Amino acid sequence: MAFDPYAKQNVADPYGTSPSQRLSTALTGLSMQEKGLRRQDQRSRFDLAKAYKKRTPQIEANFAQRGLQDSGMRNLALAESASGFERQRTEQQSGLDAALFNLVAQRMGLYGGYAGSRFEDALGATSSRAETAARIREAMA
Amino acid sequence: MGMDPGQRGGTSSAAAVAKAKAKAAGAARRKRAQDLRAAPPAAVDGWAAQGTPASPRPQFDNIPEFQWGVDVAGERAIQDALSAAQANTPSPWGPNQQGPAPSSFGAGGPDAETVFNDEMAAIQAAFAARGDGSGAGGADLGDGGAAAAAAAAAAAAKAEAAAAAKAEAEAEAAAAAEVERLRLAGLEAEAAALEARQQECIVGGGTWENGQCTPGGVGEETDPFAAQKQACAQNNGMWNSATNTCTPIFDGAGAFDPNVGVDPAIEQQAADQISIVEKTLQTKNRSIQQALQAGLLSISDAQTAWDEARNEIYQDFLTEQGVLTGAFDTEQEETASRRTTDRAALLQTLNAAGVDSGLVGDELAMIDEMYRGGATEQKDYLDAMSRIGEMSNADRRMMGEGIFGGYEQNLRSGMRDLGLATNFEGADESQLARERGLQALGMSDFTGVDPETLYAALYAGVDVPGMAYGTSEREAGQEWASGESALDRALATDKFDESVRQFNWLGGRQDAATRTGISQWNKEFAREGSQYDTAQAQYQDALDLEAGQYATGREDIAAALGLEAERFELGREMDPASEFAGMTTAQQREHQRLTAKALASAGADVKAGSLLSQVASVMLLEGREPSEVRMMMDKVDGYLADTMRSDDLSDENVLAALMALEQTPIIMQVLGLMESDQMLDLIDTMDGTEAIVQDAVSTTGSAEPVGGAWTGTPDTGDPWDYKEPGGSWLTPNWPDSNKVTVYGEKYSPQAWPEGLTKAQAEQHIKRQLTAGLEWERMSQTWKRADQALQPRS
Repeated sequence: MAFDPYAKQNVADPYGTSPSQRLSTALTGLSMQEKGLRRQDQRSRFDLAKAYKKRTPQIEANFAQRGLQDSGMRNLALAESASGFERQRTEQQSGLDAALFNLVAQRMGLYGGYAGSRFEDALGATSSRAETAARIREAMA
Repeated sequence: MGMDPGQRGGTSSAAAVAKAKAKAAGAARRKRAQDLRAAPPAAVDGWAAQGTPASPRPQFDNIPEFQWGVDVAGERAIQDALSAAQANTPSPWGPNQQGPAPSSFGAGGPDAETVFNDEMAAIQAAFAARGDGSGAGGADLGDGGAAAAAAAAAAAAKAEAAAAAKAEAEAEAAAAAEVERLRLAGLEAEAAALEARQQECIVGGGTWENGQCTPGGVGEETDPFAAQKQACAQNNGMWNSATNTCTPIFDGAGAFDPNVGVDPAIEQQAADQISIVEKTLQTKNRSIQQALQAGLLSISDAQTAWDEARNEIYQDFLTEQGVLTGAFDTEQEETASRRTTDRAALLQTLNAAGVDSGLVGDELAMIDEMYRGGATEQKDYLDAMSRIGEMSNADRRMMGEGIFGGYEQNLRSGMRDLGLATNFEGADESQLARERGLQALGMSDFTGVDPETLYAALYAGVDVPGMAYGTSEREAGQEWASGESALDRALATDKFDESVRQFNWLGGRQDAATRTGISQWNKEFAREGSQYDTAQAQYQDALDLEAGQYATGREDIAAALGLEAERFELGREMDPASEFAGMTTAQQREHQRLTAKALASAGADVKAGSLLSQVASVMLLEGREPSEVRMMMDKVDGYLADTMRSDDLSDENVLAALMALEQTPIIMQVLGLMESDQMLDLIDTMDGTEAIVQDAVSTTGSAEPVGGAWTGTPDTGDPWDYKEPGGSWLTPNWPDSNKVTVYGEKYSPQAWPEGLTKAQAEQHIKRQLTAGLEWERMSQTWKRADQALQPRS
């Protein structure tokens, strides 16, 4: 096999001329996505907590207006509200986890591709060297 | 194709441990071999002592240490063979060597010498199968005896034992290096597993080589000749499955002395050349081996570079993969921790509000379970990916082994082919050397050249026999030329002496000889004078004869010319006064026809011979066209009409018209052709036309009387006596004939010599006739009367 050390170079892309540069560019993009996801998660989490905080007094007020401040219904309503809040917060967390998982998977894929490229270059170079050495020896003999 | 750790620069502690384990295993194997060696001899000796082929044979072939190529097996087999030969018993050599039939032993069997010879042949075959390269030694067995064979067998067995020990050490080192490479690659688990397999193989009595375990245990059900085959292959031998023996392959190095008898004289003659061939062969093989080893080293270096790069890249990959998975795990742990905190805060808030959180405990539990399920799946997925990525390293390593091993194999194959071709070339050269040795010895007596020179000449391409032949020829030529030169010198000396002697002798007889010579000269002079006179007379006679022949030739030519003239005259009008002088009859008739046609075309009805017809004839003779004749007739008609002369085309009218039309040349020509009578009639008719006649006559310059007759004969009253004077326009001077009439016969000018007048010619002809000669017209020559041609009857 004829080894071409410049086969993976792309002079038409200033941001991705070499495989390592392309890897860096891709990783930078993924980092930015991760930061964006985390900011969005924090906003959602904040809004969720804010809504829960607003909702609890409203429940208390509603039951107080009906004279049910210490009733079982009031307690169940507050517990249901807390449970709903927890469920939404968990879903939010699951969404963030899934997004981060995807980013990790993409990063692994990028690293895997990059390592594969390096493996390919190394094998091409060394096997070409071995082939040339064998050919030279046969020609010399 | 394992890597040589010595080439990789140093061994690690793991490699040392592996090597120590391998050595321990080897020691155990050797101990077991010694135990086995100590046990069978009794059985062998007992079997040999029984002297019967029906006894059970010891199964040494199933014991690896007793196989071909191992020192113990070789020594023991040879000893057994020698013992059997000495005891005239069947040879136990080799698993398939069949001894003589049972009936051949005892009193009814072959004699001792026959059995001994058979055993010697078996021993020689054993040596040949061992491939120790000592064919001469094998050949010597038949002459040297069993002691020499035993010594050679022991030396060969030791060499094989050393080679086997070296191969074993190399295999152990390769195994250790293989484990070390895995450890360097960070595959500790794989390295430990490989090491365990190697130990298991060695403990099991097998041989670990090239990443595989070759079983060699006692009593295994595998190929019983596997070890022999492997040893055979390692020693560059070729295993024959039919006889289960190993045949060595000559590697091209060292002297090759097959057991084929060649005349020692030929061998001695070709020894130097064969030495050159073998030296060249060794050099080539050494170069091939060096190139092979260098190529293998280069390929090994490339493989090392691949392994190092692969390991480095793989470590980077593992690092990055670990960072990613670790970060994800940390993230999950942090998330779990935060969830726990948040959950506790939430429950604390509920409790602070007096709400029992157990009201929604099951819901919270379900939420936690769903969350953990998703997180676990993600983690499992990433772990699986990590493991798959780690597994790929082994695949890449095997791929490298295959690629670089393939290159090594290709190189080995190419070099092996090259070495084979080189060995064949060496064999051919050795064959040529021996053949030329044979040629030199055979041709030496015939050519007279010593064999050494002839042998060198065969290689140098020099025609030594031809040179020798040329030298002998040259020497013979020189000797002959020397003899000839001596003879020539002696002859020249004799000639000189003879000339001196003759000179002296002539000096004494010179006066008499001079006188005799003068007398002879005088006689010769007189004789020559007489001969000169005779020759002169003969010359004169020849001249006369030539003159006569010349004259005769002239006469012949003249006669021929006369004959030609006569032939010309035949059929032609020869009268110069005729209108048709020189014309043939056919020409005359044609001319008359044309004239009549021209006149008819002009509408003139005239009789033949009239003046008008003659005018038309003259015009046509002059080459004028019939249309001109017609125009002339029209003019004549016009003149006659103008002058009131009627339309009579009589001669006088036509003549008057022509004169009026000033056609004088035509008139003169017509009158010149007119007969005298016709002219006189015309003159008489033309009364009063003297002026015309005078004018015409005046052109001749002759004198004529005005209005009278022409000057001529006197008028006698008879008009028929009148004759025109010569030279007048009425009697023009025609050239006279050149013939002479004698006795009524005409003679052409060829009948008399040129230059004579007619009178002289007439006299000459008469003299010829008087002399009895006759003029022959055909040949225009004078001939004798009896020789002249007789006219046809």
